[in-house]
Amino acid sequence: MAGREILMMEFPELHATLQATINRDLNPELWDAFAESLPFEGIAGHSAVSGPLITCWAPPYAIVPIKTMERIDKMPVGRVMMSGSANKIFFKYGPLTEWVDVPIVGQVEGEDLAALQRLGPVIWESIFLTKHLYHIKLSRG
Amino acid sequence: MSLPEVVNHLRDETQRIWLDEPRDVRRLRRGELSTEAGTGGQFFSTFDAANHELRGFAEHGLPPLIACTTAGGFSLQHCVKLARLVVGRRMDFAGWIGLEEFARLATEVTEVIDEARTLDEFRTLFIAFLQYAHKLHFWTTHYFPWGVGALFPHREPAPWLERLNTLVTEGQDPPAIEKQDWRVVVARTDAAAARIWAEEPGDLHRVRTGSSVHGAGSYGQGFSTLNYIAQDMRWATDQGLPLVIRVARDDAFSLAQTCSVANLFLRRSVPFLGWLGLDEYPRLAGMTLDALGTVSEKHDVESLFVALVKYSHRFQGWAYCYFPWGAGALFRRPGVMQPEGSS
Repeated sequence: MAGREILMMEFPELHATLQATINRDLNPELWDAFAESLPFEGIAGHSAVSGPLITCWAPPYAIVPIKTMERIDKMPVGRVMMSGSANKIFFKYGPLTEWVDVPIVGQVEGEDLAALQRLGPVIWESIFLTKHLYHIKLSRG
Repeated sequence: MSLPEVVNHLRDETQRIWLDEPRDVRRLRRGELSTEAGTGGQFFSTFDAANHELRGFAEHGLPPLIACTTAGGFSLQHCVKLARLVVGRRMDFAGWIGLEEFARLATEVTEVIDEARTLDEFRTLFIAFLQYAHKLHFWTTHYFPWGVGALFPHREPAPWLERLNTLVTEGQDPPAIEKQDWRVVVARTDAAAARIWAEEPGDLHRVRTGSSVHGAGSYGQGFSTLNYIAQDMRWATDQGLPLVIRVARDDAFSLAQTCSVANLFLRRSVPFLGWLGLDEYPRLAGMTLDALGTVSEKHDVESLFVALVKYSHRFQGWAYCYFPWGAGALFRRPGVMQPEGSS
C-alpha cells in the first residue's frame, strides 16, 4: 500500500526484534526527516511521569509542517509517535492519561505489540533502578 | 573559534556522547565533583539541579528560541537578544554544579552569536547546541535516581490505583480557561499569590502526599511527578517569566513581538503542569496568555507577567520547602566532611 513502510527495532541485550508499520502519509515531512537518519543506534529510555511509554533520542532536528496529531490519552496502545522536531521517537505500550497532542507516524501491532509490552517494564526498571543501558537499533524493514 | 567551527565542535561532541556516557554525568552520579556544590556533603541535590538545568535548555529554552527564527516577525537582532536571555550567565551555574563540558560549549556558543549574519546561520548554531543539550539531558535523566520514587508511592496501592487513575482521567479534557481582561487577570493572580503567602497551595499538597488523581507518575509512584513540577515551575520562575518581562521592557521588541515571545516560550508547558496535578498555576498562566489579546501597551504585558512571577515564585518556595531533599542522605559525596551531627 502506498505510504506504508516498515520500521525495524532491535534490542540486542534483550534479544528482541520487532517491527512497526509506518504510515508515511500521516506526517510525510516529519517521517522523511526522521527516516533520513536510519539506520541508527540509540539507547532505549522510558518516561518518568507519563506511564508506559518507551522513548528513544534520535539524531535529526527538523523544522517541518506537522500534518497529523493525536492526543496521547486517546490514541491506541502501540502508537508510534515523535516529537515535532523528530529528535525523539516514542512507543506507547499501555494506557496513558496526559493531555497532549503528539505527531503520529505508525503503529505496532499483534505479536510485536505483545513483545513491546514485555520489554516496557524492563526498560522502566533500567531507568528506575538498575541503570542498565539497553541499546536499540532502528532501521528500515 | 569561528561560528562554523563551533557548530562542528558541537556536532562532534554530540556524536561522542551518543552511545557513551559523558564524563561529567559519570562524575555527577558518583558525587565526584571538583566544586563544593551539594549542601551538607551530599550530591543528590546537585544531580537534581544538573538534570533541571538541562531540561530547561533542552525542553523549554532552546526549542522556542529556534522557533522564533521561523515564526516570522523576528529579525536576527531580535533572536540574538533572545539567545542572550536564554543562555545568559546560566553556564556559570551549570559549570559549578558539574556540567563543565556543557558550560564550556555554551560559552563557545555565546562567543560566536554575533558572527551570525543570517537567521539560517543563527538557527544552525542553536540547533547544534540544542542537539548536544538534548542528548546530555538523556544521560542525566537515565542515571537520575528515580528509584527514590519507591519511597513515594501513590497513596492507594498500585496497580489498581493506576487503573482507577486511567479510568478517571482517560479522555478527560484539560480544564477550560476563561478569557478575561488583563486587569482582572492581574487582580486574580495577585489574590492567588496572597492566598499562598502563608499557606501551602492545595494542589501542591495533593501531589506531594500522593493523592492527586491525574495519573501522572509512572508505575504508581509520585516522586517523578513532584520532581517535574519542581523543575518546570523553577524554569518558569527563574527564566521563562523573567524573559518575557525583560522583552516587555526592551524597546527593540514591539507589543506584538512581546506577545509572540510569551506564547512561544510559555504556552506549551501549561497543560503539562495541569496534568501533573497543579490547578492554580496552569489556570493563571492560561488566563495570562489569553489576556494578551486585551492589552494595549507593553506595560500591560509587564504587569501581567510580574503578577504571574510573584505567584510562581511563592509557589516555588513551597515546592522547594517540601521537596524530599532528605533523599540526599542516600547520596553522600565520597571524601567530603559531613555536617556535624549527621551520621
